[in-house]
Amino acid sequence: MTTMSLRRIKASGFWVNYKLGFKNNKKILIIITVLQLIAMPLFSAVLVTECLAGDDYNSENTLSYFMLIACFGIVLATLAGIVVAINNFSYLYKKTQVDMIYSLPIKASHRFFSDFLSGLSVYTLPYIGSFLIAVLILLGGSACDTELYTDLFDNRIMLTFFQFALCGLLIMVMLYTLTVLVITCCGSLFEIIFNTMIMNGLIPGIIMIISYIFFGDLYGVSIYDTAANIMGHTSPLGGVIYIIYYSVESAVSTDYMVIGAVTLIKWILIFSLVTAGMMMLSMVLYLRRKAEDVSKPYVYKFLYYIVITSVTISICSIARASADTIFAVIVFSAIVYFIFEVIANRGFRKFAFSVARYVLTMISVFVLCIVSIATDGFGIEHHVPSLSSIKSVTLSYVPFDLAGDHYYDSKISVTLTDKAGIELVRSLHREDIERHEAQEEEKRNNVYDYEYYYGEPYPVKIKYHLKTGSNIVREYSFSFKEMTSIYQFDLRGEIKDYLAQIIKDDSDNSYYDYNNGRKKRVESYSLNISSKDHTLEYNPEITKEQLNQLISAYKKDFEAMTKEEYFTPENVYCFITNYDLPIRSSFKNTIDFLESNDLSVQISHELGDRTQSNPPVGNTGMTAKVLIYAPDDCVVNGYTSTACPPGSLRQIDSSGRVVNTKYMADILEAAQPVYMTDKDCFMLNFGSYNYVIPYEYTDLAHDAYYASIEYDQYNDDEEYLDDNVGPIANFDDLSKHFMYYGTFSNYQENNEVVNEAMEMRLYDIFNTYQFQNYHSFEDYAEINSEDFAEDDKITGAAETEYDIAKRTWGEYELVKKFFEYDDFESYCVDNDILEDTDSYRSEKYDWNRYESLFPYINDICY
Amino acid sequence: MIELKGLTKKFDSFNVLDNIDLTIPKGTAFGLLGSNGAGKSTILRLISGIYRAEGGTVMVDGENVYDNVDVKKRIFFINDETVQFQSYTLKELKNFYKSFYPKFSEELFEKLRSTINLPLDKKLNAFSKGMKRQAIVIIALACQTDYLLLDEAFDGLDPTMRIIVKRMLVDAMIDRQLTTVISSHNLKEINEVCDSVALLHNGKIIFSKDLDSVKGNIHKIQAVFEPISPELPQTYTMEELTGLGVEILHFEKNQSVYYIIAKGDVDEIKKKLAPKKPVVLDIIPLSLEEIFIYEMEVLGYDYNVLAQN
Repeated sequence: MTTMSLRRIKASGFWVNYKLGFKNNKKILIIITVLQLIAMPLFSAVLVTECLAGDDYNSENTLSYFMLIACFGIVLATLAGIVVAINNFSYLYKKTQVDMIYSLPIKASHRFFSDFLSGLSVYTLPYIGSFLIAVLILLGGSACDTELYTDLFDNRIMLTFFQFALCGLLIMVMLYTLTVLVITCCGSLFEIIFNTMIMNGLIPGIIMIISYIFFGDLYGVSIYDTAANIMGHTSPLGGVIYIIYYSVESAVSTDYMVIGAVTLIKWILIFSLVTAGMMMLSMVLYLRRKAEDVSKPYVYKFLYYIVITSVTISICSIARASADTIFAVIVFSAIVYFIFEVIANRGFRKFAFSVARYVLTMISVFVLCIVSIATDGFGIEHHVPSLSSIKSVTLSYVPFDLAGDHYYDSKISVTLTDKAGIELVRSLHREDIERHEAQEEEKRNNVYDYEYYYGEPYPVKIKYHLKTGSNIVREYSFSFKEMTSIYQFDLRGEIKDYLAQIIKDDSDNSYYDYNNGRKKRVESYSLNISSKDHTLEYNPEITKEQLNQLISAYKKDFEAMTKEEYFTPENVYCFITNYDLPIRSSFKNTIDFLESNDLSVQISHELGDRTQSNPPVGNTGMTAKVLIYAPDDCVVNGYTSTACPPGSLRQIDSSGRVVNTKYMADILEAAQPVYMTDKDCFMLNFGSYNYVIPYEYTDLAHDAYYASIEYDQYNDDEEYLDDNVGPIANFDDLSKHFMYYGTFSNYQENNEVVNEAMEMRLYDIFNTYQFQNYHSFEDYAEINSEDFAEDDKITGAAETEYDIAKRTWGEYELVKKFFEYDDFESYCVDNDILEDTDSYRSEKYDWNRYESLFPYINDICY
Repeated sequence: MIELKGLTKKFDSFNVLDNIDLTIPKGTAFGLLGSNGAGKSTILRLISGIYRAEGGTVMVDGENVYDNVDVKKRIFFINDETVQFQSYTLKELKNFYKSFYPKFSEELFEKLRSTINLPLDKKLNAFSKGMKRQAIVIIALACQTDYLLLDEAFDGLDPTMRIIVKRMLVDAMIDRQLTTVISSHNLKEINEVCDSVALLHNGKIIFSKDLDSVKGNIHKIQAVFEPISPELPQTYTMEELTGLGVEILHFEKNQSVYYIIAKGDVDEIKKKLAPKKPVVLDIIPLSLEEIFIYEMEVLGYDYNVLAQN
């Protein structure tokens, strides 16, 4: 700024007015300063004192009290911005002051800026000052205490503090500016307070409500993302929500509440620009405003119309949610509307106009709603941006390797800048819209086949970054066929890094130990490993170095992997982490690492020895039948020809066949848990996982499949295949047999009852008490202690609940012990019990009890 | 010099000032007279740059006033409120204005303050209405502006203070050619202080003249005309006398005595009435208040009519 212009500003009375404005707010400045001092500086001082004092204090409690005081101080000091603005521009609503202020020799624009800035200084300087004091206290404290230093700098608390302080400052500035804007539009103090309150809530509120009313039901249109984004940049309250949201999101993904630099800078820029816009608008309105407007209702009527229309729309949104409320909404909105009109018009003047305006508003809202519904959100639903308008596309989806149980919380993002990639996304986008429209048309014509379209579980988020700087966000549930196109992006660097990060996060069990109020990080790492068939699983401890080596090996292998190895691996060595990341047989570095560190786990060798009546059991305790399905048995979202990985997309449209024991080992070896092909393949299912039998093993699969049909004893038994009542060959089967039915009467209806008393007893054991889930009666009694009611003692019942349960447990143990034996002799032979011994006599006694209690038990076995 | 040309001011759709022209020469003490709501305060606010005119111009020393810092530094406006700046002490208020008006004289302020003996460090909300008025007047005078605009300036002052304040104003006018524009309903004070006046009604200027010519132009005539016979007195109507070319503002007859308020030169009026053979023709001087009332009566602002309504 030149000396000349500085002199001109000085001469214009700018500084004079600025200083006077500052002086006039002396009292409120003191109050704000006190409030700010009890916030950040006091809290920092207490924190440092507590750290230095070590174990002399109960730090957590003390800190939480001061944290509460700090929050209280900062909230009040922030709200004081409204008071400062109202105080500094009091001549805009006080008739007694306007003459004196307007007659002063100062240019209107300089008067505005000097008043604006003096108020802003009074408002923000204590905040900045207290922040600097807090920083000094923390720096001083960290110089004396190394652990505090670690927390502040290594754990990025200081950076978080800086970010929050900066964002807080900007939010305060916007709150103040918004209040000034409202003041310039209002003529009385009541209006100013009312509208300041309402505008602060209304801006974020109405953005969400309009989004909901007009775009809420649109297919794939993620208007809430955009709305939340707009909300976060256009109002102080929205800003607070935005910053908290991103901090928490960051804390979830990185353990630190540090907002990403790009997000933060973008937010700062846009938020500042919006604030500057508000200030410029305030100034323009201020300069256009006349001195005689003081005490006039709503000097600028547009504010009133914004408020009243927004309130009316907000009320109408209730009807959008539930059409039944439409008349209630009309009546309620009319009452609110006319209350506003009467207040704004200072009575019932021009009431006919008010009625007309209300009718017009309601008609506009309803017409817009109808048009929005009829045109699918004014065409937004069908809109796919043109190739020439797109700068890049960010695709968020669940990669092929995570398309198992965890797909809802493991979306990753890849950004495509190449034309081919963008065009592919556009065409997928278009296809999905067309498919959706076809489905909607079928629904309208009542020819929609729900079964055919059942299941579209692949959430995909498309974010177009346009050359204009704006973004278009869509969220769809893609079919598997669409996903097969998207999975080709999996081999990009972003996915590799993301999966490596998953390994790191999943294996890192480090935690903070609060010892005497001090936070200390305790490092702990373990790796979850499971076999290819998920029947063997364990979770060994590893070191940080081992974890880093594993990650490095995994990244190397992932990078070197070909497309074929990715989608159609020769074999899967094992799965790691709770996300079941497959370690393909081509992952030489990873496999070498696992084997050299004794961390490998192979397919359960017991599987091949199992029979259908004795399904595979691994160390996970899982039991399952092994079922095989022919290609014709499988339907994938309406497309029948694509085989796919486990636990996800393939709808098996058949009850399958129980694999013949003869083929069990071979078929399990051939089955692949991670496999994607468009060839017609046989599939396998067990333990709630699906497996693809690669096309080259079709002959084997074919034989196994048809051999299973011939295995008549079980395949003819529909009940078995329904997974309801299996053949009772062992104790587990017996347990399952009784567990299946909800009530005993239900059991009786569905079974040929051999002996009611006996079966009632078995029903009690397995269904009522569910003893099979407990190791001992003591375990059962402890966990179910509340069932043994106190009132038994009071009523003096002959046998208490506890006694009955204990007696039944005894019966359960008899069944458990003898069920699989036809006679006592075989039991003795199997258990090496010799005649004429005490043990023999005791067991014989039990056997006799068993026979008397369950005389027909063998009759219910197949 | 203050010049208003074609000045129009509206409050919403209501015309407060309607195309008025007015010139206030430098160094004059100008009084603004008018009925309530005539637009006197509005004119003062327009001259002081508070209001922006919808039409016409407000020029002070040849420059537009509105948002013109240089011109506004030469104008001080005292409105009819006394409640502003309640939280200030006199010293603070003085410092407030001092920072805006570069010619502010501490010496003069102290001299005037000691004359009326106002406390410096007492808050203005502890002052009486009259004291507040005194405070703002001495500050205004200490600002040494070229123009001082006073809206109901003497409101709240006791008779002694009125004289003191008037004397202060007169001194300033004499010492530094201060131009004073006073709006007041107290015509006696206008009469005492002002040398020119303008009469406003319904947003229009009825006249704007120096006070002497206003007074010299309206006369109260007490006349008795020669009777037709000793038993039959002469009875003239207002129209008959107006027919002689006399501009009559007010006409009253009590038995044979006529009370006439007429406009124009005294000799001319006498000459015009001569054909009716007046036996007695006394010219009685009019006060400004009477002039105001009779002028307003012609415009329909007749207290008899208003009272009946």
